[in-house]
Amino acid sequence: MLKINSVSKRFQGVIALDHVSLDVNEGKIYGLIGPNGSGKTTLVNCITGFIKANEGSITFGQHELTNLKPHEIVKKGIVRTFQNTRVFNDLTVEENLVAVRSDLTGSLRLIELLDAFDLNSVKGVKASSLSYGQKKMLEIARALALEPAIILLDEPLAGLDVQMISKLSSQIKYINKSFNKTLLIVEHNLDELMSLADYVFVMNNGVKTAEGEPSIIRNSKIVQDVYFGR
Amino acid sequence: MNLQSIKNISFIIIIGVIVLSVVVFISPFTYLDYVLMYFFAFAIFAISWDFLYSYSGQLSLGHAIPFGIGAFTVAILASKYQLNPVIGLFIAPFTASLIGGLIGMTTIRLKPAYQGIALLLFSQVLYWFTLLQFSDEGISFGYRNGLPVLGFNESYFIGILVFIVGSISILLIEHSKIRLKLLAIKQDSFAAYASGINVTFYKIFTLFVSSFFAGLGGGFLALYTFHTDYTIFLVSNDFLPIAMSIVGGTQLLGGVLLGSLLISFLDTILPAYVSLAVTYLIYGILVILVLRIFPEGIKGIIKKIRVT
Repeated sequence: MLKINSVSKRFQGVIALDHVSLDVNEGKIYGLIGPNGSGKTTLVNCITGFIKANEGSITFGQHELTNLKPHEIVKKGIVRTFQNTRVFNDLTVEENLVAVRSDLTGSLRLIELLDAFDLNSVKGVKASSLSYGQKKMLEIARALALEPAIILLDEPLAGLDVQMISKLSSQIKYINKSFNKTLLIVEHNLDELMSLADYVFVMNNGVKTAEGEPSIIRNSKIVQDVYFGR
Repeated sequence: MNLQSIKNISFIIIIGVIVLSVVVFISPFTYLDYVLMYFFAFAIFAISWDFLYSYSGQLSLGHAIPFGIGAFTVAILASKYQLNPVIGLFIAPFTASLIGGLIGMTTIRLKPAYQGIALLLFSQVLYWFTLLQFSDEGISFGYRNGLPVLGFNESYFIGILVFIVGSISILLIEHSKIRLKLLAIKQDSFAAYASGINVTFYKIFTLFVSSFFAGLGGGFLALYTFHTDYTIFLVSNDFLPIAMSIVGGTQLLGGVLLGSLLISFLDTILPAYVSLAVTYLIYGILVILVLRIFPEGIKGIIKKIRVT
């Protein structure tokens, strides 16, 4: 489905990604872990067109994504969220969704989305007035409104309390099962990620160091060395 | 805003302008004619600036570029090619849109403050270019074969038409399906890109549309005065639409129109009593006071009165 083939990215001589390859298949939840500065967000930026890779290729189905612009990649079916939540603060919750899909106005789909993310009661409220957790929900709902095939979530659980983490984790599973979406989650909360993901990639210093099912990754010595510093 | 609200505002604009025009027309104070025509030209100019700023977050500190190009289009076509200035007025928005849009395109990747400064510099390039090209006398085209090219009543009527068509057109664009996309771009262009919105396209679109209407305002000013010169690119003309929008209240057509009316009145009356420097000092103080006390301008004052 999504194939990242030997992608490299350098920033003025600093190697952020070094020949990273990974395959993402339909319908699963993938985790992408690694210490700070390991290249996770750079990889997400390369996939979504915010950064151009120096080498390698990124393909999605039959589409070559490497030189496409961010909005063109969205049209192909790959949508992302951000580490620091980026909603349109001066627009209402409803307008945040309609802004990206004007045909949602007054539709059943809009109500479904608002209900699915517990946002119906605040649909007329400006996004700036929402709690941090609600903003996270809104950002994911906005991504889902675009009906993508793959959603890339950049640290969706960061900064949330235990209750909200549990709620958002349930939402992620719900999106995967009910909407049949593939998810690639960059996350530091390993316990939660391991319970969510079907498959995990591990990165360190711009290199993919391991991949496998959560149970294997959790017990891998390489992973414990690079990630847990043991 | 729904269709009914747009219809209501359009109706208020039309009735308001007709009443204003009739009152001024029958008034014994003939200078009010000039104030009204000046208002028509600058109101379209100000709402075109506000559209660019409030709906895509682009800051133009050189909006005199399309305004002046509109004026020069009418003047050049009338004086050099003997074209009826009314026909020139139809062409002016297109040349203003093309040139203003192309100049603006070179700045869309800049942050708003730098974009504003770049456009300000471009406007000053045009100031010097037109001064050198047309000297300080500029272009006058009021008479042909000893007869005026346009009667007073005709230009009065054209002014009303330009104002109504211009303001309602912008109102319709501002409340069309693209409104939320533009506001999203203004608030966070990075997130808008990530949400599939073609940010570059919409920024260019707003530049061309805004320049189009600024050119219409400038074209009408030239048509009404039968003249234009390099002073149309003066820095003061870059800042007047900004002052009008801030005083009236940005992102609301009615507010910008009220701000334009107030400043047009001051701009045409004050210089008769005080120097131009004092006039601009008064504008500066007015803008600072509004920003400090009522950041939403006249729009904010009306809101407050309604609440109380």
